[in-house]
Amino acid sequence: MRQLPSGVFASTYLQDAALIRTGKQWLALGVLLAAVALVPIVLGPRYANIGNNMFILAVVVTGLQLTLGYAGQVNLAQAAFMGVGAFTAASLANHWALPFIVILPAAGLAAALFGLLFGLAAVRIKGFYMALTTITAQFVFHFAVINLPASWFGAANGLKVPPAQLFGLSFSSDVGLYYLNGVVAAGMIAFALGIARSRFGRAFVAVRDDDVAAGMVGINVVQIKALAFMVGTFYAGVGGALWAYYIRFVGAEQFTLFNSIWMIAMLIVGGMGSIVGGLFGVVVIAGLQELVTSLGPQLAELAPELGGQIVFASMNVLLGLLIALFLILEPKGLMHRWQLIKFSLRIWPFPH
Amino acid sequence: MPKISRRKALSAAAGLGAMALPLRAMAATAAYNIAGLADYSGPFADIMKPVIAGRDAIIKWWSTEVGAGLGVALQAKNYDTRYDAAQSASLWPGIRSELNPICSLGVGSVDATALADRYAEAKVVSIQSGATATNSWVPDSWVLYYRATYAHETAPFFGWIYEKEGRKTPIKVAVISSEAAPAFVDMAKGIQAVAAQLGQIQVVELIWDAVQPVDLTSQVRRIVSAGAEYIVIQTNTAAVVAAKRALQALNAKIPIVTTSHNGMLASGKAVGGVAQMEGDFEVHSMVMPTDDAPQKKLYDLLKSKYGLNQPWGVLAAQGMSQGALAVRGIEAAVRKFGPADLSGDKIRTAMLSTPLEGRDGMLPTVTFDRSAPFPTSGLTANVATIKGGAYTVAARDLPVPNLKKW
Amino acid sequence: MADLLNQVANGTLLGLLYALIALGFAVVYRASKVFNMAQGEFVVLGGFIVWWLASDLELPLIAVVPLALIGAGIVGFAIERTFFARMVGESAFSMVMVTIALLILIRGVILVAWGPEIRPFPIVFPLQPLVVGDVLVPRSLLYGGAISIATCLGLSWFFSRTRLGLALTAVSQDHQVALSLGISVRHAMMFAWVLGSVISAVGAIIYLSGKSLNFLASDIGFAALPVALLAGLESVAGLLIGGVLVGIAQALAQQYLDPVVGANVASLVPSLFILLVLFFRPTGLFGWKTIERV
Repeated sequence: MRQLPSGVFASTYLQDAALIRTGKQWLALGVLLAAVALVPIVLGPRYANIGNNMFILAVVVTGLQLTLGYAGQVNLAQAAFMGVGAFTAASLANHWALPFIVILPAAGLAAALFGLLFGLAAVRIKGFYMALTTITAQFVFHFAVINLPASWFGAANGLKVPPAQLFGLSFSSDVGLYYLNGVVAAGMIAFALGIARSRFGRAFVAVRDDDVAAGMVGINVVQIKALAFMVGTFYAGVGGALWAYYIRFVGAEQFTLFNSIWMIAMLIVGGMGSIVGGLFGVVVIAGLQELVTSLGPQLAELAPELGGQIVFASMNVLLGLLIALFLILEPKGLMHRWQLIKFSLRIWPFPH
Repeated sequence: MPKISRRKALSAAAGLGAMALPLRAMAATAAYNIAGLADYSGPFADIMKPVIAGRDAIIKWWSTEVGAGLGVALQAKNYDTRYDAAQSASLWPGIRSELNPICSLGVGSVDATALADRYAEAKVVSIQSGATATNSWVPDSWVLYYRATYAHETAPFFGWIYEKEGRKTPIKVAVISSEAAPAFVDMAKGIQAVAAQLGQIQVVELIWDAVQPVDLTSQVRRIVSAGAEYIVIQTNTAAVVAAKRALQALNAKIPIVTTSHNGMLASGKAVGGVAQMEGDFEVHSMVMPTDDAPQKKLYDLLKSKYGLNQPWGVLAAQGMSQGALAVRGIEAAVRKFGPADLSGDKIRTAMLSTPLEGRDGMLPTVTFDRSAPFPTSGLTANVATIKGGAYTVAARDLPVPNLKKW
Repeated sequence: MADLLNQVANGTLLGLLYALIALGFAVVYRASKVFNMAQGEFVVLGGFIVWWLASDLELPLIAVVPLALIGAGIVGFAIERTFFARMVGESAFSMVMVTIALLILIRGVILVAWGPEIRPFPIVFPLQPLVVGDVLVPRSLLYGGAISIATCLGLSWFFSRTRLGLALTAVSQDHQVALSLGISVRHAMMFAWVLGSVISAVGAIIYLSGKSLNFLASDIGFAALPVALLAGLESVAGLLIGGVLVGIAQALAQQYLDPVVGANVASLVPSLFILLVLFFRPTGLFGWKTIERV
């Protein structure tokens, strides 16, 4: 049940299923997109890079949201799948000089295939066992990247990545990459919103709530679980490819278990079960990490007795506390809080 | 016309002349920024403080004592990269716009690889702080190192043993490393390359374990039965401690060969006493931080006048050497192109074309060429050991061989 | 032959150490159905408490060990009170997410309090190994193995034969039902966390005795994870068998597979082994199979 302003009624199914119903909502979306598009011009390339980081994480975390928030399949190795996408993209770009437009989906597919293995395992193994089994993906990824032949994935040295080439343009500047990543991220998020509203999205939610009951209702639980993993890891692979073109170097140490844990933390803070919630989580956590890193040198200069390392190590403490606080005070995440605020504003001045 | 007394005229002229002098000096000193990248909260945070302090002090020293005379002033500012590629890439545009640096002081393979293309684009030369990692070993690099790879530095030790003992057969060597970090894998492969290319050593055992091994007794047992004469451990001090305990348990006396970041003093502290490292070796290209080292005078100067309040040791020496190469490059560029309009491009050109000697004494006179990011001639290695419970230098200035990339 | 015996012996003892670390996971899970992702951090925290008492305050070892265990218990109590007391009745999944937050938080606290330097850990067990014929056994692992076996069997008896243990098991199955039966869920969770923290401290002492300590030692938590999975998350005695199997498999792989492949296959062996077993027994070797009513 979505809350809509009074007087807004649907007269066709299409209208009813639409995400954006009123003129004002279109305006709000337009303003948001314009603001996002203007960030590099108004604020400069440093903010463009923060934006780049957020766009890439948004794609990966949206995939995780589909797997975990919608389908309830715990995936503690999203960073490993992102790494699979990144290394595939780097390898293809280096060996066969394929264009960006081909590499992006190819990287996604490679990650999805790797994810399919775990999707199939999810059919037999449930609950915490599944969650912990996904950690195995991290170890397998790390081992595979370091020990496969250097001509495939760079072995211990990692791979350099040439700049992305699209429509004759070479995307090597931070601002150019911002727009490229922004467009891809927007497309992937829109697609995710579509999945969430489709019969697959509803099947995901049914399997999350009770997979036995879902099976009895006629949903092919095996197929849905496998699909949940594949879609989530496809997104991770695409995000990984974008990452490869952004950093222009891929190495196994960029995709560790700790990175996967941060992604789960983003979902926790933003709210599980909602795509927009995942985006909130990305913005909050990535934003806070940047804030601390920017303020760090100033703080370190103000208090040299503390030493730079205490200032920066405190970031872990701060963010950990933040996440724990969220779970205790607002377990449904920022999204829930946002819905409550919107609702109370809509029915103001009535209390309920 | 009133007669202007000669005295008044002379003093007026002197006054005007004196006012003009500082104007000339001010116009002559060009100020440049250096971007310092550090790791304050990531995996190498424990060694960052002395390194950063060392390089900042050298820059201040050079800027005050040498640069002022040449008309150049240097200012360094440090940023935390958390040893993370994304953080480094994200910080870079901000660093560029805020500082417009001519030179960057890198923290390690993370910024060397992630920012390599960006340095080339921005024409900023980067001087790194540790040994070269193989993934940075490319021709025409904008990222330069004052040390070659760990393997380059370890080879002279075995060459020295080979000569000293008059050997005819290869020395049997075991390596303990870890796959947890790609850099550690590279170190092990480097030793294997040294064995293959120089023929003075033979790797009889290669042990892979965790970064903090639980117990190495059975692995070391394997090493002992393979007849290894030296164990090379260049990953970290935890591995050295575990290996040392295993050797003590097996009552075996095989010397451990370490490098700068897990050297005798650091490992000695971790194992609970430097005396336990008796007979082990530490080999690298940097200054040996003994009290009678000629570089100690520079350290004392930096400590007293330029704010270097970290102890004299390998890490401070590492930072000082990094700063030393950077200021030598800047000095070479100033001599070649003049103090005005310095850029990373000019510094790099100067570094790649002239032998770099400096009054710091931290490094020998080194020469770069376009084929590698480290000096291809002039590098030497030093060996330290613990003898009688004290840190002593065993060998100095062993020439570093030329190796082919593996 | 001597090599093989050594590897089997050492592997068994290493596996028993993993079992002890995994016991931390199992105890918290058995008593509150929360899977503590931050168990590795508890081990390091326990290690730092021991180091602080022994090296900073320079107390004699005989006082350090019991004080450290008490200290670890207090830490577990504090964490449970701060974070988990408010979460009684929430889904198990949210509580696991709190442990993820704890992971980040505890690592940050350790870095702020003690910094990233590597420090020598006190030598709690004698360094001389026990020699039985050709087989060399490190004493810390040997005593650790004995402690492991005793603790696992003792706790297993406790959870299945005593009133308190059964009450804890009831809490782990369903908070609401346990409450309605008069079992204090808050006390149960408190007990679980205190016990988990104390066991982690014991594990830290055995793991780190005579070696060095820094914040990266928490990796052992994730290394011991496969043992917990293999045995089944609810099984306490099963951890011994799971640990021994994983330990021997890893040791043999390191001796015989690593040189052939030239890479660290041994680190993957536990995970792959687990995957295989879980395929045939999805709740681990001795885990509970729950029957769901829909």
